[in-house]
Amino acid sequence: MTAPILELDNVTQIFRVHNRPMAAVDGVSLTVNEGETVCLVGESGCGKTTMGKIACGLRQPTYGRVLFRGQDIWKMDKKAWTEYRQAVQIIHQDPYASLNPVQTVSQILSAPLQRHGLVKNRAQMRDRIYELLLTVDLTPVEDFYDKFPHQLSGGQRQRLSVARALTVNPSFIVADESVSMVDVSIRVSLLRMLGNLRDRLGVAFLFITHDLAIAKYFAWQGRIGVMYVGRMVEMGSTPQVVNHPEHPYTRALLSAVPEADPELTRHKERVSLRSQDIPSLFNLPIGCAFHPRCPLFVEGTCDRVEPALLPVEDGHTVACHVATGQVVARERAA
Amino acid sequence: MPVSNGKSSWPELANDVVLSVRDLSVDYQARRGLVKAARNVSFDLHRGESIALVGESGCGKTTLGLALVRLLVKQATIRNGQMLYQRGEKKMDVVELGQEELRQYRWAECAMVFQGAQNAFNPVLRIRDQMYDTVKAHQDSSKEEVRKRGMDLLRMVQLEPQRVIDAYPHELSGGMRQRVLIAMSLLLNPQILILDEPTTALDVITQRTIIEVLRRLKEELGFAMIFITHDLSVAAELADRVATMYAGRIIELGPVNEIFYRPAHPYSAGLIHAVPTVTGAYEELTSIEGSPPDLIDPPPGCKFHPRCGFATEVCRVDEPEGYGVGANHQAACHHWQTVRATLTEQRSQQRAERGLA
Repeated sequence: MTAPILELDNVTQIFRVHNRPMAAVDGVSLTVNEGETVCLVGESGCGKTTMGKIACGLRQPTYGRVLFRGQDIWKMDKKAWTEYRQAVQIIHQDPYASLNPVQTVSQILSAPLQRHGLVKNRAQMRDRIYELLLTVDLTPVEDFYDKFPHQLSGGQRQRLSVARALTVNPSFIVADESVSMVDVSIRVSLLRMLGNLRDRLGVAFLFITHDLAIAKYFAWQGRIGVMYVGRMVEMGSTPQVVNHPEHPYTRALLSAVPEADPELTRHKERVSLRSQDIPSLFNLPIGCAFHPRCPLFVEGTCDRVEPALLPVEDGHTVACHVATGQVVARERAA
Repeated sequence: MPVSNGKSSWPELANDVVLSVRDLSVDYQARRGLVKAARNVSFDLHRGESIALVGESGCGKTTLGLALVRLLVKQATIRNGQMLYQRGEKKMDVVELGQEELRQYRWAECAMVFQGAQNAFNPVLRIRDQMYDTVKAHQDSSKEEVRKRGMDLLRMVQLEPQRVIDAYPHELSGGMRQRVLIAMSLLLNPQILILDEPTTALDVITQRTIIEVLRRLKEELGFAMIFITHDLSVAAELADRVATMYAGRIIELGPVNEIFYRPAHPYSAGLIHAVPTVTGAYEELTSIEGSPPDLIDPPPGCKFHPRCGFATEVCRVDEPEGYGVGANHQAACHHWQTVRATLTEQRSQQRAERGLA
């Protein structure tokens, strides 16, 4: 399946903070195909969460279009909008904040089933809730049915959040740092469960994370987009981005990641940046926003012209004057 | 209390041991009963070394860290054990210290950087004043002396001293505040530095800076370091030795390479095999099924047996003590030979396949 399920077309999100405009996302385009996993990675403030909110219709971008199966979601009629909202779900970061503390597991799961008229009677409701709890491995199901969120562990809560997202049979899930808050030992089984949904039910994922190792593990068959201060700086298949990064920022990020392997991590080559400071979104550097920190900085180009996202190889695009220029030069030489 | 008053005898301690924790148990009084958060924890901390305490939430690592500076909440009791601290002629059992002695011990002998404390600065005081307050509480120093010491330390944590020392906390980023905090913890030249989750909630590049700063400081100033982390990659970076905690006990303790490449406890191995690396090809990960035990009513025998693939009858009955499984390496598992034979082999094969070994 290669038809796009969701397209963000040149979206910009401007927030006014203390009456000063600030672009949290600045002219980013992103396509997620049916059944595909796309990861967005970057540091805090790079706009990845805003992208997630735009993708699931929780936020209307200031400029640009959001297309769901080819239809502009902000120009949809009521029927199409309902379909879209059912097809797209979000799993939040914090399972302690995103579940109603005074509702039981069954109440949490029955609300969307009722709201969207997905079950006809109580018996069906019960069956459907059992099925959902089974899907997310909250078993034995009877034990969880009447529990409150506070009686569940962090990992179990996050499974419940996934079950809630699944109530409406979504075909696209935005997972925003969904495994960051759970313990290492539980993280893998959660990721594996999400992977199963993708493989068995064909659900497409926009997976947002700051953890590159997790992105690599979850999206190995998919793609990764790297964001920096509201702009997409590199996009490609996961092996391309992780094993052959072209943008100096991606390289710096990858080289900075500590690895759970002492020999590997202590002998890893590090990219050193010219500055540690992430620029303020109110006052971004002219030209390439990364140039004050970039080890490849070329005066006269990088501080004047904003680089466009250009292909360096099949399916791999980079917004860097030097990286894209180098590739052209290499090809000429060959 | 100091040994000189003769109340407790001072056991033989190797010269390079700065802190010897022996049989330390801490429990919390909860409505349902006693939460046994640390049980018979023993280890020696040597001069200039770094130990990582790793484990999942609720395994007792923060409790242990707080116990080392006696900052436990009032519901907590140190049930038994000793914490023998020595620095030159100064020798004391931290468990026995009174309030005033404790105040002198904290920060000057053993400083702690708390989790998330980069957000706990006094917002209306400049960094220089927060530093001065700290020093003033312990010794007579002029503002000028403190400022000079503070600027030296800020330089060591790779901050611009002139700018930072006169700044208010809100003028600094999270990563900068964390470095200021590390600098402040070293103001009184402690022999031990305890850090609780020092890089959690920081961005990758900031995290890298903190790691490098800590590594360099430790080399230059020679303090011993205990850091608590759930992130095994930080342990792999910074630790000389790793202590894995589970259900309030240290279940494995050994040199960092031993723990990562030749783990002898299935839980340590499980944690390591659950973390992906960025470098190299794709790897399959394994999860640890089940969840950590209830610390009020823990299972009999080995506390890990309900989640353990190697468990047999003996594990259900008998809680294992630490077995010597290598040079300076102990693991509390009855089946450590089988565990190691099975898992180490698998692991080194996988590493080789991914081109890492």
